[in-house]
Amino acid sequence: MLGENLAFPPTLKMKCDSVLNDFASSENHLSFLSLSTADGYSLSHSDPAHVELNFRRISAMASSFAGISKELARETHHPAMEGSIIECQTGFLVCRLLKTEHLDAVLLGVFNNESNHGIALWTLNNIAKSITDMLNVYK
Amino acid sequence: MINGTKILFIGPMGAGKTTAITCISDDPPIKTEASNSARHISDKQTTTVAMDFGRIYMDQFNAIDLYGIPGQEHFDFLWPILEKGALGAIFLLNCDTTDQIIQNSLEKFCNDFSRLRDNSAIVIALNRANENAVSLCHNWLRENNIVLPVLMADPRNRDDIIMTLELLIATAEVDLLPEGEIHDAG
Amino acid sequence: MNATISSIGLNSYEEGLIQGHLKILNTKTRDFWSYVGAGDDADLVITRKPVSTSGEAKVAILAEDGFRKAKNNLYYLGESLRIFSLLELLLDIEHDTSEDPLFSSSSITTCAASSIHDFCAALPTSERFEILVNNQPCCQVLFDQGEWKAASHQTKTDVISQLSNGHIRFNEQPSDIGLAATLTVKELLWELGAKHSTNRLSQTHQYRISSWPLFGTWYSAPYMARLSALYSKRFASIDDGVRFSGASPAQVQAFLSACHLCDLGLQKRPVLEPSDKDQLARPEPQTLTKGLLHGLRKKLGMAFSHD
Ligand SMILES: Nc1nc2c(ncn2[C@@H]2O[C@H](COP(=O)(O)OP(=O)(O)OP(=O)(O)O)[C@@H](O)[C@H]2O)c(=O)[nH]1
Ligand SMILES: [Mg+2]
Repeated sequence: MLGENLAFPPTLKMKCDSVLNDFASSENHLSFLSLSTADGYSLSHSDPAHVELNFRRISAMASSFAGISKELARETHHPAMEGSIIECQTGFLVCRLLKTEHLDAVLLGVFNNESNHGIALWTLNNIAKSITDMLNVYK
Repeated sequence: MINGTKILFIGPMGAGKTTAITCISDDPPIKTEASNSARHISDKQTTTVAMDFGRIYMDQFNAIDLYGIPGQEHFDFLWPILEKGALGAIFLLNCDTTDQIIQNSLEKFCNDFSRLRDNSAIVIALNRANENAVSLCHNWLRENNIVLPVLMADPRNRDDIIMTLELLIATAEVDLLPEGEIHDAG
Repeated sequence: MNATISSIGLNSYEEGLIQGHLKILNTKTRDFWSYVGAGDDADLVITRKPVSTSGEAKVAILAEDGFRKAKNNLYYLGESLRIFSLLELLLDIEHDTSEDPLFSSSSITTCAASSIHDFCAALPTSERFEILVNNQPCCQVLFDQGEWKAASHQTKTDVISQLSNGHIRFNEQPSDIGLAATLTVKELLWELGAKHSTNRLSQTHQYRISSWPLFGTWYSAPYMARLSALYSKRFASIDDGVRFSGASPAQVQAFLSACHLCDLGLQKRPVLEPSDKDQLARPEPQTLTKGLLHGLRKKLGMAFSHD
């Protein structure tokens, strides 16, 4: 698995875990965050309170979802897809593609119904920027 | 509306599912490729993360729909979804590896697609294979009492893929024969 | 089953030799053969000179330079009582007495092919042997990388055409011809069976196979894909095979004979009801899928087309 891969060393994973946890705990409307490679391997995630989640499956699904979204966008002549949203009665799921020097990744943010489209997108953009910067700096 | 019959391409990462579908589809296929971060498993640029979809048109009403699964195991949640309603599957396998890995893949995919396996609706197409690999698969099938055809096929070669489709269709056509005898058989 | 061997006119060394051979061969043969001493009251009598025996006994004479079947009940075993000749003899007798023969008559080609098949199945894998056709060397057979393979100075086509025409014999002590064995015996038997067999199979039985032949590796013709699909999925008669594949009855019978030679698990059973016979002639229309498959075959230019 990539967690133990050269591309993503343990020290970087620890850093990501801590950044994701900081964001998740500072934003009330954010339930949890998951970061995976574009091909579906889990890289890092925040630790959601009170729920058991299988991040192996969530990472794979997030990358499948991003893959389908990207293809749908391309098919409808919008080639540079950046992210996609799933709306539910109880909240939002937002996926963003991250392109960094070393790797393509998918960031998934799961928001509860205290959030709305604007806040959710704005929050996830900020998190995406921090993570991308961090990944780009890391050699 | 076009009436599509579904044929599935299964097999592990790097087996050539996307390549095969691209090779025989009439339309440019829909692909969901992402950069491959598991180059140690299969050294190629990209890997499928959701599915491939291609089509062969028969006439203005009928088509064969070609679906490719993402081969990596963490995508196995998609396999039963993609398998629904499939007439059969072409099971591609890259044999440029150890006997053990080949056997593990046979076991994994024959189990995960057991509905198709039990209906003999799978054709095993080996690539980068030699006759030893063919015997290995043949023997494995026998030991496990599984009755499926095995052949060598290069997923980049249209004729090879068509030959595999032909075998798959031949087995599907046996099911179109009257029911009565099928109950007696076995 | 237990079977017995007796001898007439053999010395004690030769009697010992028979007993020694049987210790090895009994792990290879279907029946358990035991040597019961001098006399003519046994399933098989081994003698130095022609004798007349009472009843059903088979007679094998220690003469000539190897195994040869002279008549139904009379064999030549070679002068020196070699283990290979004895094995050939026992296999042949067992073959004759198998209870439910698959084929109602066997062609010369298939006899040759099935003796090669039986010989390989019975021999220890450390051995090599030579196949002679009309007393001329044809090819050598040895076990290599888990399989029996043939080596020959001649092309595959020549080997097959020789084997399909002549009288074959085995030589168990060939000199090494220093050639790599490239052709698997299965491939050889498959082609001999599928192309040259004229075995007759019962029309009142249904057949089924439990493994597919190796497409692309073994000789194949377009109708074989459909025959394999049919017989691997269900019991079907010769007529069914003809209708489903478009092959001739002779081709279907040759195909099934080849399956048998290559150990593809050929099974046979009587047709259950008389009405079964006509079933494939009147398929109920399942037009949708049927039309589609037909369309696909047409579009892709697949080899077999019904209409
Ligand atoms: N040399 C050689 N290359 C082959 C052969 N078969 C396939 N390939 C190559 O192997 C690769 C197969 O990759 P894909 O078609 O993406 O494999 P896939 O089965 O879709 O894999 P995933 O989507 O990752 O599950 C391609 O680069 C092919 O060109 C072969 O017989 N010989
Ligand atoms: Mg693919």
